[in-house]
Amino acid sequence: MILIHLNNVPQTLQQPLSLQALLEAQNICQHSVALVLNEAVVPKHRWSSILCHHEDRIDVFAVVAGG
Amino acid sequence: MITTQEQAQSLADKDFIRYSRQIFLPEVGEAGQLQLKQAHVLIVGLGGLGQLAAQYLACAGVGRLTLVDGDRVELSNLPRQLLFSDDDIGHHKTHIAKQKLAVLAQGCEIDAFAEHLTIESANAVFSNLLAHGKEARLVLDCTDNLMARHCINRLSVEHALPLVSASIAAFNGQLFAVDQQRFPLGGCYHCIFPSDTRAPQNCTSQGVLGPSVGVMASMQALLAMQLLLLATPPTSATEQTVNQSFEETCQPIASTRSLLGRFWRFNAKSLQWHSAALTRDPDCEVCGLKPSALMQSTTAVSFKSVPNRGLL
Ligand SMILES: [Zn+2]
Repeated sequence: MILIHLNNVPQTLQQPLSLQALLEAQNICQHSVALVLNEAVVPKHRWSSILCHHEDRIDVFAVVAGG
Repeated sequence: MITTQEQAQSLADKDFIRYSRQIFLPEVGEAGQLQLKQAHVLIVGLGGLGQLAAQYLACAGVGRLTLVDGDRVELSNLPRQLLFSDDDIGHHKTHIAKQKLAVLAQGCEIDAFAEHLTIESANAVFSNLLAHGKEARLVLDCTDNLMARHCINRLSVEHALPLVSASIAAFNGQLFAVDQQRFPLGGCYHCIFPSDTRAPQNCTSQGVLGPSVGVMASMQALLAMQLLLLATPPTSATEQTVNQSFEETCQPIASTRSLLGRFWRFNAKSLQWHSAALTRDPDCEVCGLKPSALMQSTTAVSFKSVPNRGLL
């Protein structure tokens, strides 16, 4: 079992998921968010090829364009 | 005390007094103040962010600002856009800002473009930015929509200019600085938010509290000033030895590494900041293909054989 922290909320995964599969499982729309894995932004192209690891801290947040 | 050679590059007495609180900082000094005087900042968008960043930079002694915004002052702007008042309603923001900044900061040259920045209008704006000799140049993105933000990012990469971008909607602020010359590994706006990114809500219909916009604009101006001060090492630090590292000799405010290629988020409800490292997307269609201006850098060599997809 893998424990991750998604936006500061602990979550357990039964099997290793890619970042993309994690977002899909959480019903998060990939077109409006950016993703930070352990304090580094992960470009969208790589979401499908990176697997979640135990104790990963993942922040997902929407683009803000206002000013 | 001052040699004849240095006299041409020293501040007038009145300027020395005006900027003394900045000059007293060893990280700034007279040399840093002169660097600000020789800087040229392009500010796109004169809403809550741009109008405040422009005031800070002009009053801090930045020598030249180019202001770009097609909007006119509206009643609903006034609670957070403190440069404007009721009398200004209906007038172009750039014209009002130019008039008021001329009073607040007489030493600052201001060019105003009363139009929105688009690929079409960008040529005139960027020719203006690049026209004035060997200034340190920097771009501030203070706009309010994704299309403008992508346009500014593309142009900044194309012209190899450092970009400091801030945004705010409701209680969420975002801020980052990228520079394809000084820190290409940080990538660009498109690396974090590709073209197919959609804002979850229409930003202009979202509310915002004035001070939270001010926080983001202040951080943006602070980041911009530090990058301008770090643009070239201060020349007056002659007593320092050459063998010491840059960090040791110049006591920079912060190293460029800690400022460039970072992405900050501000939660205006909890007043908490989070920061993360930006990562260049090797497949980015904007910064992945290096413009000719960057071809001399070693990282760009491998891109030479790639057919030009056209950046604009
Ligand atoms: Zn990029």
